[in-house]
This record gives sequence, C-alpha cells and structure tokens, in this order.
Amino acid sequence: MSRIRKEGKVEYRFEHPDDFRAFVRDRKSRKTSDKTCTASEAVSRFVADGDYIVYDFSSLTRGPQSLIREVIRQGKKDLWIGAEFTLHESALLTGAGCVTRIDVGFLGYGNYIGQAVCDGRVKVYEWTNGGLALRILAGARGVPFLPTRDLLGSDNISVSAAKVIDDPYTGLPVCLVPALNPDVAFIHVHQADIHGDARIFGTNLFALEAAMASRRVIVSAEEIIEPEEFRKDPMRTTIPYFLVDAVVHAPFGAYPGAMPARYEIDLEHVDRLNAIRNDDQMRIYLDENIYSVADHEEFLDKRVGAAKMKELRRRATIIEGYR
Amino acid sequence: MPRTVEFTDTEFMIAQGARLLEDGKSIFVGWGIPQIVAMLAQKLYVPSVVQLFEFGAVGPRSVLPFVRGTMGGPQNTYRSLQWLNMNWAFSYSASGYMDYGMLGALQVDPYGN
Repeated sequence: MSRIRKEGKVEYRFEHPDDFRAFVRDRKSRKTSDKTCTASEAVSRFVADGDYIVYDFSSLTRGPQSLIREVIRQGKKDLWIGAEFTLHESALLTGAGCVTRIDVGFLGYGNYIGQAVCDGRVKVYEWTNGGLALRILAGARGVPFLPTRDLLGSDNISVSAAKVIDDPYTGLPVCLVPALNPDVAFIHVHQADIHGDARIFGTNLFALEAAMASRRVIVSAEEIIEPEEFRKDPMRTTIPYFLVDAVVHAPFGAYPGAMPARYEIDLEHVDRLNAIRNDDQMRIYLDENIYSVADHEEFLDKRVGAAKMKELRRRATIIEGYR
Repeated sequence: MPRTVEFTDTEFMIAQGARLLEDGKSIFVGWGIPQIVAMLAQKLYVPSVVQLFEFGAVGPRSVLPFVRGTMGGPQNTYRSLQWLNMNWAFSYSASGYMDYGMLGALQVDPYGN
C-alpha cells in the first residue's frame, strides 16, 4: 500500500466507480426518445436540493445561464457546484442562497464571492483548473482517481482533497485526484436533436467527460436539428444522445455571455453583474432578472428585448470555424 | 524634439512582459493581462510563438480590439491551429510542450512567490 506523503483534508464528493456503473446500467437508457422539455421541467425533475452540479462553459462564453437562472428561480438549496471558473453564476447562486460549496478551478470576479467566503456562507475547495478537469476525466474513465504531477508545486493541495503518494514505477511523488461523478451536468450547445445528440463548435472545458461522468445531463441548445444530421457528420458530434436526460431549446441561453458565432457578450449587463457588491444589490438583480419573470423567454422579452438581441447577433461576425 | 509618452504601470508591465518571450517557443497563456502581453509580443517581437489557452485553444491569433473579460470567445480564439478542451491543454503542458507559462497574480513578492 502506497504511503501517503501528503494530503488535503477538505471534504470531497465521491462515488464508488461500481455504484456509478450500476446507475448507468440500471437508470440511464440507451433507447432513443423525445427528451425535449422546458427548463422548468428539466430542472424540477433532475435537480434536487443537495445535488452536485457541473457546467460547461462559463458565464462569459457558452454557459448554461438560462438553466442556472431556473435553478435560482426554483429555489434549490445546499447545492455543490463544480465551477472551473467562478464568475457571475457562482455569485448569483451564492447570493440566492442556492449554493453552499464550490469546487473551484479558478476563482474569478471575487467581489461578492470573496465576501461570502469570508462570511462563511459558502465553502470553497481549490482543485486548480487542471485538477478539477482531471477529476471529471477520472469519473468518465471509470477509475477512483487519476494521477497528475500538477498540484505538487505549491501548498494549494491543502485546500483540496488530493493525496500525494510515491509512484510505484518511478518512486516520484505523484498527486492523486479523486474521481468526480456529479449529480447533474448543465451543458449549453450550439445544436442538439430531440434525442440528446449535441454539437459544440469551438473549445470546451470538459463537455464529453462531464456528460459521461454525471448521473443526469441537461443540454440546453440554441438550435434543434434532425437526428440524421449527426450521422452525416460524425466527427462533429460532441455528446451522443445516450448520455443525455433532457434537451431544452434555449435560444440566447448563454445570455449575457456570448455564444460563439451566434451572438456577442452583453458587456453592459455583465458590468451590472460585476458591480454587485452586497446583498441589497444582489437582491435587486435577482428580483429584476430572475424572480420577476416566469422563464427564459419572458426574461428575454421583458428584460433584454428584441433590439438588444438583434445588436448582439449583429456583432457576432466571426463565423468561420463554428460550422 | 524629444517625445513624451505617458503610460500606466500596467502598460509598462505589459510592454516589459512582451519583451521577455522568445520566438519559436510555446507559451501557456493565462486569463487577462497575459493575453494582452502575448498578443503584443506576437505582433511586435515573436511572430511564430505558439500560444495555448487553458481550455484548449492551440495557437490562437486573437483579433483586435481585445475583448476584455472573456477568454473563450471567438475573438480571442480566432484562427487557432486547433480547438480542444481543458484535459488536452494540460496534457500539452504536462508532457513538456509548453516552454513558458504566463499567469496573472493578485500579489507577488520580489522573489517570485
């Protein structure tokens, strides 16, 4: 048995690989079916209090913002999120009282979050970008951990639950990160079909890994296309249908973030989010943009508007590479 | 006639950073100021430097004007050689393909801590 040279002692979400395999065998279907539904239905059905949620990409680019706003609207509690980048979504989820723990890659836009951490309202565990992505890869790869030589260079390890052992092949110290199998993955994509096949154009954090490693996967899509289109161009399938539990048609679902080749970031709205410093300001934002509207469509209608959407679409001039 | 140029500390830092890079090398570029340093360096000093962004944009040629506050958007990842994802970006790093890393820091001491 390898001696553990050093380990971080924070809590970590972990599921035995055999338990996850049993879930996939018994509770995920390989059959095609129409999985389209509203964000309200998807979140209501697949997100429970206390769940661990991971998402791809970020609040600024191709993020599942409409799904996250729905989580806040439904008042989910005690969530644990895997936030590769903690941006507006982390601030809003914390401000709304939804999230109590955050596994972090990169802690960004810390004004509101920083205060919440200091106040003890949310716990933050630091895995580094590479470390968190590797945990999800381990969850997808069906192993209890994956080794890395990351995390060895600083004391970051003490605010994670990584363990350092002697590698049995070389004797080198090597860092192990435990597998992560989230309860739910939210992934915003360019195109999906009604079965759940999905395409992302551009880069992603860990879209396929997260879809594979998570118990339930909600895909929100800018566009719904025919299933056969995926089979005509298999190189461009990012996620196959049998990993997915719900498909939400959500044009402008990444708003106020950008959706590459579809619409640009709304920097004015993002600046408003960045300006939130305290709970009063948070409350005003949440009321205006989430609680006072029934769903994403009413939000777009009444808080964003057709003129703004047209302008953001117009600004998305870079199309090449995103087809 | 001598020309007076005014600049901020941040602009000075960016200009100095851009002078440190070597042509024909690769660099892992972190969020924010490092992106601007890399862009300036590539335009002025090191045209064949290979940048890497952490979510898997290999060799991006970011367009101007620089879009602040994003990283994965179409302007920053324009005409990349390859688009992958985070596990691949860290694979490139871990197997030795990145010659430099450049990150923004909140605080730094004179010794580089």
